[in-house]
Amino acid sequence: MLQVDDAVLMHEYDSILAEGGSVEDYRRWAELRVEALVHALRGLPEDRIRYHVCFGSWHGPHVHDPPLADLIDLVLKVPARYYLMEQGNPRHEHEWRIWEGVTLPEGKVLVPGVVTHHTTVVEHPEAVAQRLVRLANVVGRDSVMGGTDCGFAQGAFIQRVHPTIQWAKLEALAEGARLATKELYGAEAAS
Amino acid sequence: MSDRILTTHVGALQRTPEAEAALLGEAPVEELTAAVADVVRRQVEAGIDVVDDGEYGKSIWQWYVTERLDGIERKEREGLAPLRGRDHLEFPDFYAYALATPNVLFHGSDRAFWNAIATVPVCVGPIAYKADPVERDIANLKAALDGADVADAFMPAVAPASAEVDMANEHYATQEELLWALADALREEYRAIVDAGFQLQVDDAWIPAMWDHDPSLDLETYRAYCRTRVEALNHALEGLPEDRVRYHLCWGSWHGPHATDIPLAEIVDLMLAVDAGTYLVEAANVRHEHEYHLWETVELPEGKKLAPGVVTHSTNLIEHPELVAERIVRFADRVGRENVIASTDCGMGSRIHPELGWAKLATLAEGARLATERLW
Repeated sequence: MLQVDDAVLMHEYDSILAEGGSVEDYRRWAELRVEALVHALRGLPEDRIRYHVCFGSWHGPHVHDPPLADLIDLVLKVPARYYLMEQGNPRHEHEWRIWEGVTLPEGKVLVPGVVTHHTTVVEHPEAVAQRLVRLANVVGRDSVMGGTDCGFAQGAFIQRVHPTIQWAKLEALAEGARLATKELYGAEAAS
Repeated sequence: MSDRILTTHVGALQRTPEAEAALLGEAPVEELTAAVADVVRRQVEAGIDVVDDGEYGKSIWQWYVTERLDGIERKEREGLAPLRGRDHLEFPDFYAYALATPNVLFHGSDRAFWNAIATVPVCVGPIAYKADPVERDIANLKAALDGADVADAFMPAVAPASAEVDMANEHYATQEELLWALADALREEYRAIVDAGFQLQVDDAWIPAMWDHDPSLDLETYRAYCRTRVEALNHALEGLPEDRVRYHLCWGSWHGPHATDIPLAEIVDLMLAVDAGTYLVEAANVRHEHEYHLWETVELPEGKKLAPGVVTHSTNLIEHPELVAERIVRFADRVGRENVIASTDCGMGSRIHPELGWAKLATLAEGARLATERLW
């Protein structure tokens, strides 16, 4: 599968508005970039494409991040089957609710971050499960996959969390997904 | 009865350099008074209803009290010994890195805080309480509250169990004798705070954190240890009106994995056994956020209040007010809207950059406003 990483799509909102631009200025900028990506993806099978948007992975306050609800139409224009987005940090955790008002197109899969690089504390598997289940209850259990907010390393030498924390978080993600599977699929669940 | 969600926090706010110098005796004591007035004003501006003095008059929440006790000396130690435990054993590489790197486990360079951590208290004689510092703190907070628009004020003080941890005992015949001597001494501080008209907040992070701290404990031994500590605390609280007492539990505020924290479900009965009217407990970090479900099976006793953390020091990201509101509403749905006070996981001081600490208090207040709209 190809994963297209696009942190700048969301972050440029903050940059353009901070320089005095308007939301319309931002959308004009963003629409052209999305069109270019759609062009680059032409001919590739959609079910082999994942599209990752995030708000920039640095450990800052992130109070000027745009609301996902305002930009989700741009994200959904990208012909991918899987959409990966932050939902494991306290600036974006509440955005699972946008799917109560936005319809996820048939056959698409959301991959929310249910663990985050933004805290050293390792997510409790129960917290991971809760995050997956509440989203599954909105978009359907077959349309949810457990993911991370962003990468754990920017490169081999730039770490967003300590490596041992990274691995513990991946384990918590897997354990939480097992708990969520049990709750969502019950006896049907594959062992 | 309140007709809205009130806001508070757990106590420590980042001390200013002026307050730090005054506390260390390097500047006139009036500068501490002025700093407390300023920190109360800032809490009001941030939208906090139940305020404190930022704990500006204490070196660190646990060991400040050793500066107020006869019979205790402080000796040098190496490293952050209190952080040894199950988490440390599971993540040795992380802790080695974190202990060698500034601003990972804690934040900032407040010398009163770090000096207290760098030494170990040793009990060398009979413990007796010296009231001068608490009287100074009470006077500073009273002066700061003059004309301030607040619902109430609180002052934190350490629990006997948390003062006891890591204290070497060279005087009393047993560890329990030391514990009860601490309880008798702290009783005087508790009474002074309540008599001054403030709510007393008893900080007891070492009850939950003792599970991590001592890997040799099995659950039964650990709970027996805790039960004795709760008895000692209730002795110290005897005669104080329950509705003027808050009890704060957390699992230790350092920025570690916390993967071995004991679940709240294992200790909630011990928490509720403390003779307090309000219980403050972590619920905003990724290790404990899910524990709100506990209140579906555990009943909050009649007349008691819960003040869960709905913002946390454990990440730099500022909680979205919508998330804060969602967290408050989840608790209100389970224990009743009139029984929920919106709070922080732990103190902000020495744990996060001050600008971020203040932004978190502001988002806490905004989230509480949203929750009030939804609940009333």
